[in-house]
Amino acid sequence: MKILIVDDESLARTRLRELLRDSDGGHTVLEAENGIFALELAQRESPDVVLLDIRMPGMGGLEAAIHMARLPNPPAIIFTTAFDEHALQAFEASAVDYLLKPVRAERLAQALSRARMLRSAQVTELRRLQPDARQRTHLSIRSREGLLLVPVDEVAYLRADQKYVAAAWRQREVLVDESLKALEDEFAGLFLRIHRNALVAREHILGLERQRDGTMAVRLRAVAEAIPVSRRHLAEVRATLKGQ
Amino acid sequence: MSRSATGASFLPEFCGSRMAFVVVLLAQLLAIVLTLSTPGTRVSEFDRLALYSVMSLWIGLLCLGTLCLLRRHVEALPDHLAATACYATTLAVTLAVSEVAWQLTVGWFTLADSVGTNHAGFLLRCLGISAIAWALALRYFYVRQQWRRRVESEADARFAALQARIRPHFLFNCMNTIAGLTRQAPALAEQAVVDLSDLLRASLHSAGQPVTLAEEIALCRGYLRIEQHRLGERLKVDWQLPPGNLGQRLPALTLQPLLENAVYHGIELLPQGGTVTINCVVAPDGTTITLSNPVLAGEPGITQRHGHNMARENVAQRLAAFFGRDGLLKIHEQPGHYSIELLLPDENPDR
Repeated sequence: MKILIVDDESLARTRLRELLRDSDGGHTVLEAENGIFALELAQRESPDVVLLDIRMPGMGGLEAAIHMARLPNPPAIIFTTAFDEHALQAFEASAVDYLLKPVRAERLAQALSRARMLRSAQVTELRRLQPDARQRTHLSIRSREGLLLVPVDEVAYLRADQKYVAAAWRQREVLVDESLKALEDEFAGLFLRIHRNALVAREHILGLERQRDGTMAVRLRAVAEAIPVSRRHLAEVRATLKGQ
Repeated sequence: MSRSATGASFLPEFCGSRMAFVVVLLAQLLAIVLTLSTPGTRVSEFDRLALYSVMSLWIGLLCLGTLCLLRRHVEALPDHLAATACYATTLAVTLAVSEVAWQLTVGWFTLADSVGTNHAGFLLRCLGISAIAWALALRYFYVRQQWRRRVESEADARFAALQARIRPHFLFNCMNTIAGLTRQAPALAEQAVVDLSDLLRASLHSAGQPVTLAEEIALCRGYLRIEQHRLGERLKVDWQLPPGNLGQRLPALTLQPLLENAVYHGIELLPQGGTVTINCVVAPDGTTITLSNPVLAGEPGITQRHGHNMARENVAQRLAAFFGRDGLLKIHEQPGHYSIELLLPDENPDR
């Protein structure tokens, strides 16, 4: 089996690697030290199983799992944690496999033998039960080159067109296959609704300006065009700008 | 403030048989007091008691029922508005019941003797009595509720103090570290076991046991050695200690939980890690210790964890109890940076 070990502590990775070596299973072992590297590796190497630590800097395990479930060949995921009450409750409730650190050799073998894919229902359940994981740090974009990770705080605006949502990121637009409403709910603290079809990043707002036709628009940092504000949302936008 | 801390409402529970019983009892007592205080007229004592009882019970129970229905809506208001709303409700219900009573007694039963002849006077008397009785009753409910809330929060605080001693997160991570080190570096594993034993021993001491600053610092060094195995290069520690013997006394496990916070909420969440600085300055009026560490600034999805404040408050409480004064712990928060300052006054050396 091809196994990816994800943990920010090198000792923890070494221990799992040694346990796997002792088991004589002839496993190929890969390692990553946080969720972002793990996703890159998972995309490139398509491991069968990912042993995923929950608490890691950069991107934690729960969020990495959410993105991994969207890969073309999603790996089976086994979470590892030393102690995390919320996570344990979430795992129990959503029937996800997990290992407690320090990991027992037998438990590891058992978990590997019945490793299975994370279903999307389980991912939703995990997010609901994990207060810290509800908000992702990245959006995953499906593209021809594979899964693209876009840091949420670099997105200037999100705009819904007929069928898709476009996110402005680094001078271009990428397509997100999630609804604007769901994105608004998840990132309420980061984005402000300015129009029925647009959310803008609060941090990116430079100011309001009047257009030639008399309507109002928001000027954003590093975005050439001004994004129109609908009359319904104007008061709220003004209040937010005043408060900042 | 305390509402969010304990989750209990400012208002007592109006719905329920216990409360109904208390109100019936109070109403009946009021009826007896009223009967005893009026001189005998053409109406006999027992008849008057019956009338007063009916009246006070009706008012009492209807008020309680209304409050029970209203509670859900009033609860969201600020405390003083909620109290005012409850009181106003009781007065309104009183007025309504009195009016009905007047109409019944005068119009139907011709019992005018027992209510007098002045309509407005009757209503005002009922309102006055009810206003005083309900003011006392609501005050009593309020005090009882406050008392119950305090007992609960004290129990919570005591439980938190017990729990805060050693974090399970740290304990199990430490065990994992030792398991990992055992094969690769037995000598380091041995040291980690000894350091962990010192920490466990200290945490099993009764809370507030005095130790010297030098002893506490030795314990902290052991703790940080364990974390160092785990986090490697990511954790850097800068000790800025004055030369000489640090013999100041302080409650055991004062610095360690704060350092644990710095690691758990600061360094561990930073991909590049960072430096925890421990600065100690001895002055004539006391010793100031400043712990500072970088934190992740404005990262989405990172919510301030509950345990952060718990350990900190626990330390603040123990310092206050030990030195007999408040305000020895100060926090400075900036985006990306966190520091906490402790003052150990040079007094109370006999403790």
